[in-house]
Amino acid sequence: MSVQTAKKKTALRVAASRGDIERPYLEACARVLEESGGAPDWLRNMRRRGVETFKSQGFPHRRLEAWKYTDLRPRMRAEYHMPCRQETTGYVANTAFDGVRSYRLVVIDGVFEPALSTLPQQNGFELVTLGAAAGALPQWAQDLLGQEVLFSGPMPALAAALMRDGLFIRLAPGVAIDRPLHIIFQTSSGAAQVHTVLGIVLEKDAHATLVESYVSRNRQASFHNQVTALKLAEGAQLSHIRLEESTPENLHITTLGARQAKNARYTAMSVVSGGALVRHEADIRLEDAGASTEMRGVYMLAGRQHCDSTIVVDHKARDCTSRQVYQGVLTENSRGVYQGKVIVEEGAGGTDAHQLSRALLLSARAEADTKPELEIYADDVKCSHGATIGALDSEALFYLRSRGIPLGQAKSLLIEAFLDEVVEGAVPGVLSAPLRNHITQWLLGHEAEISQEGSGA
Amino acid sequence: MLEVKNLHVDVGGKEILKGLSLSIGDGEVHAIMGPNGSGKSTLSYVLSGRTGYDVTRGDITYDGAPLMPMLPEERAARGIFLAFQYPLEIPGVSTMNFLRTAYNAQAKGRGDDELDAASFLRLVRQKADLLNVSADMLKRPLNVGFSGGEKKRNEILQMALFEPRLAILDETDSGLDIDALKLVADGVNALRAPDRSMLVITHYQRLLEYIVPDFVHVLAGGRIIKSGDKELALELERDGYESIVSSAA
Repeated sequence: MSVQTAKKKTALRVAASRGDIERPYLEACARVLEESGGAPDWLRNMRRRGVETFKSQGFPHRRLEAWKYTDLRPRMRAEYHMPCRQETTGYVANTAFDGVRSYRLVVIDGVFEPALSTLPQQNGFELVTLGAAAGALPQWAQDLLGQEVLFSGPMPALAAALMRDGLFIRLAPGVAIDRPLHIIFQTSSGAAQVHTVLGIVLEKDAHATLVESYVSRNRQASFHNQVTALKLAEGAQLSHIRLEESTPENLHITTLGARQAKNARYTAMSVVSGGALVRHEADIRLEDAGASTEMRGVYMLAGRQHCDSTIVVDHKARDCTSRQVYQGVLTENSRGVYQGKVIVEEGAGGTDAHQLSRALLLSARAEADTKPELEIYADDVKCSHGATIGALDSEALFYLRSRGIPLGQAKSLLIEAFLDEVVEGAVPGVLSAPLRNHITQWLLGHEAEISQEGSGA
Repeated sequence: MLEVKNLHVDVGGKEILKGLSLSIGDGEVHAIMGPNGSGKSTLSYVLSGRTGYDVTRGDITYDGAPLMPMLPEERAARGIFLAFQYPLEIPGVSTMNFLRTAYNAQAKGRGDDELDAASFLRLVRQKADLLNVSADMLKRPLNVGFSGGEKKRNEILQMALFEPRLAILDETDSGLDIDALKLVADGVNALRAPDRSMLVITHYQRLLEYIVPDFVHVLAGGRIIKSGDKELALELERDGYESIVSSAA
């Protein structure tokens, strides 16, 4: 065909795609709204608001600054079915934390399964779900659903519109859960889209450790879209570990919003080795003096995997502390993105904020994109950021090889040490060994990708 | 054991070794001395197989087999050990873990059995005690925060552990005071054996009073210009490199 015809065809195709990709999702939204006739007004309004937000913005595209390194739109063209409510067989995939004594909360295809779960039996622990409550959610859970994070972008808005179930957890003042709360999000249906909302409130001086495992039952590409709303009252402490163990075919978007009161402490660790495209977005607000947050991440990618960590920490009050440490290993054609922003608002004197992102490139085709940002409007602050992207230290590799350690093993040793820097001392004791073991297993399973030609010494 | 014939080596496009020849028999201790920039470290790196050191002419035979095609890890498995002048710090890898990994990798490379953790621990403790390497040092990340002396003792500990056939000591005395030097030298001397050869590379004669060589070679301008016995080292000490270099020219 002629150049003119080819150009015209391309133009038509581009024009048709805008709105085209969103259509099946909007149709799904319309169906959900129709079927929720009996739901309370606040819930219907929330869903409607989600739909409107999603409709007005559409799926994110690369010309949006926050999505510039992650091309999501074309991936939303794939067909993802709404999961059918099937009889649960009780099968739960293995997770890295199965050996840890914990309270297990099982969510299959976005629906909480009480029969497969064990809950803490202590006073002061509350768990309510949208499905079970049939719309009669307590006010604290409704408030969580009203948090800004739900409508902060098209993806969380879509989750608000389409969620099948929502999990809400509240710890009363002073309550400490003696074991980790382990939420297992499993995708069982093939090629499904699963929208989830998770809300957690820790009242004054409450303590908890939350672990989220994302696993899949099959190898078909599914789309998991999650919004997490966290509210930590004065002195509350939440340790939050997320482990992406799902198949390398999945699309996984999470949007997390946390609001921290005075002296509240939030430490988060995310470990990503699964998924085709994983995006962890977080918006942390330090709203009162002495609040602190540590956002850490480790990613280990191969093939064409893509992992994007986009973090914003907003220091809205004095004397708050924040740390962001993201380190990852990229093999083959994989891509790691880190966008870390720190905002220090006027009046937030005494801020102590640091960011560090380091990426190890083990192949000529791997790519790391790092974008640290600091917006500082106060005086008397300590802020720093560091970013390195590079290969393994060839001196160190030679030293190890000269002692008989073969190249592949030497690389694994250095990579493990590199990733361990982020994990060591940063997770509660009982979770440390399984997490480290997960990393070791990944290294053992990816010896070929690590040893690739042209990746060092 | 080691036969180096007319070795020419380029580093970064520049020729550093310009026809070096050397022959080391079983059980012999050879010292190589020379002014700075003469190529002493280059020789040790070429022998241990570091990339970036290009052999343009000449060959090296180790135990009758050509050395150049062997990877660094293969050379280690076959008994070549290089004690680095500046041992590397590797954070995140504990000394003990490193030693065990290396020991077992070498055993595997030779087709021998690997040692289990308990047996290995006993073996290391035994060798460590002889060299005054504390249990605490073994727990720390490799060489991180070690003093110069501690790093060198760690190198000799490795030598004691791996029992090499050819040990290359690259300026092992640099940065050491007399006491540290004596300790290191004692460790090295305890490892002398009829089936073990050593190549001691040094700038100063002092080390050779403690580790007495069978042969001394002067390396200057990328070649060995003079060879002798331990007396040659004393001559160098007395007259300096200048005189030997000019008289050999």
